[in-house]
Amino acid sequence: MSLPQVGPLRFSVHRVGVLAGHAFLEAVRQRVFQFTTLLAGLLVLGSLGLRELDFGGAEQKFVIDFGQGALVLFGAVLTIVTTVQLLGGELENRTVLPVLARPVRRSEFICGKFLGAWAVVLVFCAVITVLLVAALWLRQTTSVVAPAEAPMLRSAAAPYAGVLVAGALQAVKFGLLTAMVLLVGTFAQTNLFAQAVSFLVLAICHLQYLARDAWLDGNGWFERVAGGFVGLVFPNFQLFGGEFLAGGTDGAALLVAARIGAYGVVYTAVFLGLAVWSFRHREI
Amino acid sequence: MRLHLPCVVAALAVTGLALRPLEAPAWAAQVRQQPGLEWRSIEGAMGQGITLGLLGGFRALAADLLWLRANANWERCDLAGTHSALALVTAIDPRPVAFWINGARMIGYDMPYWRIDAAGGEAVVPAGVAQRIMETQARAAVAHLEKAFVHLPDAALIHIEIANLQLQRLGDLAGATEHYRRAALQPGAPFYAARVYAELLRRQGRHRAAYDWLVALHPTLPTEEENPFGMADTVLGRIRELEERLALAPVNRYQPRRK
Amino acid sequence: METTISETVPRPPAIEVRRLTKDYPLAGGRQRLRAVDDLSFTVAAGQIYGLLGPNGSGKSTTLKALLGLLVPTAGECLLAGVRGADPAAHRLLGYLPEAPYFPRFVSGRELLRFHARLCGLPKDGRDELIAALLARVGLSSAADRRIGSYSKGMLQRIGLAQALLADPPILILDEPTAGVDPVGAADIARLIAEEKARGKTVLLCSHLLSQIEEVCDRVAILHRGRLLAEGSLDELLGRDERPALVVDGLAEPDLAALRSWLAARGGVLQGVERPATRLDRFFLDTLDRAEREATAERGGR
Repeated sequence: MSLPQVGPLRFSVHRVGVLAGHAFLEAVRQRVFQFTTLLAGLLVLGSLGLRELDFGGAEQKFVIDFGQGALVLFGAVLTIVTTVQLLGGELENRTVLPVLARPVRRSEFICGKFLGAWAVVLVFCAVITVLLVAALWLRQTTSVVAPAEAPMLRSAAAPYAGVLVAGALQAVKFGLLTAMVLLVGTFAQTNLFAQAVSFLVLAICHLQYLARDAWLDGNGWFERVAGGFVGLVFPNFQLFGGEFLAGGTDGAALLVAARIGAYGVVYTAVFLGLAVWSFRHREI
Repeated sequence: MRLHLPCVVAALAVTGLALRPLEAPAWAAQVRQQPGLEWRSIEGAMGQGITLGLLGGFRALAADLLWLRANANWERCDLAGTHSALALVTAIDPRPVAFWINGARMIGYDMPYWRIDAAGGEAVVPAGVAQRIMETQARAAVAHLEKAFVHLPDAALIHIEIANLQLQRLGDLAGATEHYRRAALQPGAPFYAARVYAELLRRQGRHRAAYDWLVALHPTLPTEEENPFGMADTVLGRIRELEERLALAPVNRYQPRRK
Repeated sequence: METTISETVPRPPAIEVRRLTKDYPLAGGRQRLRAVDDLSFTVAAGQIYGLLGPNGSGKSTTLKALLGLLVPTAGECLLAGVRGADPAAHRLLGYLPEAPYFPRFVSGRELLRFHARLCGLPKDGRDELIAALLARVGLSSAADRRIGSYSKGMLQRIGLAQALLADPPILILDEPTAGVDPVGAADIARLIAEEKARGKTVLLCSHLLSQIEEVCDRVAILHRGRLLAEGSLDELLGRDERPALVVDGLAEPDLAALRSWLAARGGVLQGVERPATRLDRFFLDTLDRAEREATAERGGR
């Protein structure tokens, strides 16, 4: 049998889609997705049961705080564990070998893993945000607040738009976290190491603003240099919080949301690029 | 595996610098809505885990959980525990008005009875002592609420809560009147604040001031159809009563403009 | 789908390993372990080539370098003249890794569908092709079971099916019968022989001598990363010029007569042995006999 001649292999969106679909299928069938979604969902719905404890009109705050807390906390856990399993698990179990023996570029492999893992987290964000909106709607329609009081406050309506924007920003943040975990996974030798480093990075990114403040306002040179290093190298995860939406979702707030979204997307692209570059050098 | 760490760090630092124009205004908008943490109030009261949680962006949730703890202490009539939990909640997250108001109600209206019960009950404690306890707790509640103005300078409901404590527990009609006035002037104040202010003026015999206030108020109110809680007709009725009281000539009486 | 294969022209060898050396860093990078040392061999199109060696001899490292999964310290590996590290070369390739492990949460059919889509196989006829392959490796009944429930032998079979999926001209099989029972091993050997008959090039890596001996045209023996011997089986084993007879039903008087007959013609009977049947041959013959008897019994009823 004479062998055919092979032409160059270009980057293929189709193959990225196939890899992403497979990663998504694998991840949603894992218990970590089912457990985190169930736990976060229960926390959101459970917050409705707390409303009798605050004697008045603040149960909306409880429902939103618990819902967004569940989204931020369980979303981060889900992102890290799923991404580590999808990449580190493949490397550790050597299931990556038959895949990379296919006509697949390593950049396609990493992009596929990224999209698959992020899609899982997007489903989680959508489920929890919809549950949160439903809980707020339930709270509105079955409120135990004295009816004579609530309508007299001119801003008693549930902030559905704010909840949706905040959910979308968390989804962008988890996309960035997915890319960061992928970068860690490309050089980690074990899943345990990848998870430990990823959680450490998550903590640093949540506290980055302290370093940023030290960099910009610090007194000592060490404080400014160390603060500048952390403040520049790590993205600021607290930027993705919905605090700025407290005043409502007007044009100015949406502009801030767009800025934060763009910040997340650019950082995600950079981390993804670094992950591809690092994975190209990885020996398997 | 060859991870060129310096290259990664350099790429990220360049990205961080390039994204500063996007980040800075967005971060400023975030910080505007987040009052600084009062570390002196918090230090020592919590473990490192909660402190890290607070720093890490779970401030509202931490305050909610501490609020639940305050309520559990309240159910046990634990005066010291409730007090410290309330102080902690408002130190961690001073933004929710409900934390201040509900906390003040516990301090001003519930704790006096706990103290009286602890001293043997209403049958044993002399009326004068009980009255002093009521007033002490009411003043503590007012002091608690006044701290809220640092973070919530235009919170009408805080003014109203102070006014109610002054009215019901301290017998301070003038103080209560002033707080209702301030409440009525805040954006988003409940409609009843302005009506109660006029009523308190009337109770002090300041009929002309009450009349002028209501005449100025009435055109700003929504119609009954637009919002029944505006109670424009009731306000107009009070205006008419005051016109009688002030014996105003028909030509000088208020003529509402039809909407 | 992009064009993957252009016209055929006279070819370089299917597989070529040139002076391959691979070192692994040890103890923080100060020391190095040489897994493969200046290894060269060539596999012509249509050959079945056996890489033979004990554990740790560098077989798997060589295959990984061939697939571009490792970066050689020196030398190069080519598939049909293209660097193995170039994923374009993988269009020609079907690969079965050693002790294959696949995602536990997908079924065998889903795994093959995933690999088929990755290879860009057209949607029309894809499911039929997958069903045929599953039948060929004997996994039709377990096709929709999750891979987490598969035995070792079933994993090897599904691994072989994914390697054969795109009908690649080159197959690289790393220990294809590891963990497989003798019946399964015989089935896999049969599949390899079928692929050879269809003109495929097969690079087979194994430490089972009998398996290599049965199917391979050429063999390379590795030890501690070095090539000890390389050539066709005839070249390596040679042939005894003396003929040997295996005779059924030879009685003692007949044996004496045979000796005399040979002596009359100047020949000498060097020895009379009773050769032991190899266990794998015995095992397969026994099963085969039982199967034939059962078939005859059913036919007799």
